[in-house]
Amino acid sequence: MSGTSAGFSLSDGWDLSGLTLAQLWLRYLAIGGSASKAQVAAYARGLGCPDSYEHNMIAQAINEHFLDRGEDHPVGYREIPSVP
Amino acid sequence: MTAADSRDPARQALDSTGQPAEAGVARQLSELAREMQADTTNEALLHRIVAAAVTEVPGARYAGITLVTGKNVSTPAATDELVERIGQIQYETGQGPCLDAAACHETVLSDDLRTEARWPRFARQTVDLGVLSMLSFQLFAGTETFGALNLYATSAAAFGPDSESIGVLLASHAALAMAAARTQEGLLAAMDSRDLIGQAKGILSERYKVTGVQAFGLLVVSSQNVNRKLREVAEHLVATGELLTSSS
Repeated sequence: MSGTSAGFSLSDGWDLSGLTLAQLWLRYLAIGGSASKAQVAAYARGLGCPDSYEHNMIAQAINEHFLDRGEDHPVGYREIPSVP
Repeated sequence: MTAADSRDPARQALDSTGQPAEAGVARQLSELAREMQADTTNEALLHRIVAAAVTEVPGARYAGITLVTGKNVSTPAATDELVERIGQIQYETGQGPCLDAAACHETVLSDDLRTEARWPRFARQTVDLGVLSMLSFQLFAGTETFGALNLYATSAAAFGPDSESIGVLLASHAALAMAAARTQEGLLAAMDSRDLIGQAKGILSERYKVTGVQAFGLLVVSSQNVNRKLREVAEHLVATGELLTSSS
């Protein structure tokens, strides 16, 4: 069972965050991502993101910036599972 | 070097070894650039930069690098204990040219602290230590962290145009060194976080018989539910075996 959460797109969320590409990439790497900086930039702009896993890692990387600012998770996720 | 020396063109033409001053600065900068590429620790490199500042910048008697993080002021490199004391005065008074350079401007000059109106409390205490003029260069400015290279002199009006032009070159080297150090710190923290999240995914995969991708999704759901970062959720799971939920 899985669902998609409402929220900003990756591109809009990234713009709102003010994160540089280097900052976004470092956050993405820190949560387990392994795509290159250029790939992350493309995926975040909606170009060639291969699957919901990559999408959700970038979403989480951006959302953690908002968490640092005391906000919630404004960027939406795709096909997230429910706890069994 | 006295204030009069620093403003004397004949005195500025030669450095302490009798070589043209510009050649001395160029040599120092190229040595610093090489050290940045070599296996030199960041701390050692910053100490070399402040040492070069007092030998190469006309008028500079003392030098130090100040870091401002939130309300904390620290001095990772200094040529003298007095520099650390001045940093402490800025912390205590919440004012001073280093804080201005760090927070607002690229370069801040105070020609005579005895008549300085911008930071009166700081200036009074610094004059008591025998420092009469200061020159500060911004190294970097983040959202909450700032850095500055600060030069101090025991005479008034010790810093001239040459001081600014040479000082800004040293400051750019210091800024690059500190940026490299911060990148390294960020990568180390990222590696630590990756490892922890990997362990947490392994625990969930085993527990619920799900793939790594699905385990990541469970961590994301937990992060959303408790409004905490993935690393914190993973840390809690690895430490206690419990996956945080809204009712945890």
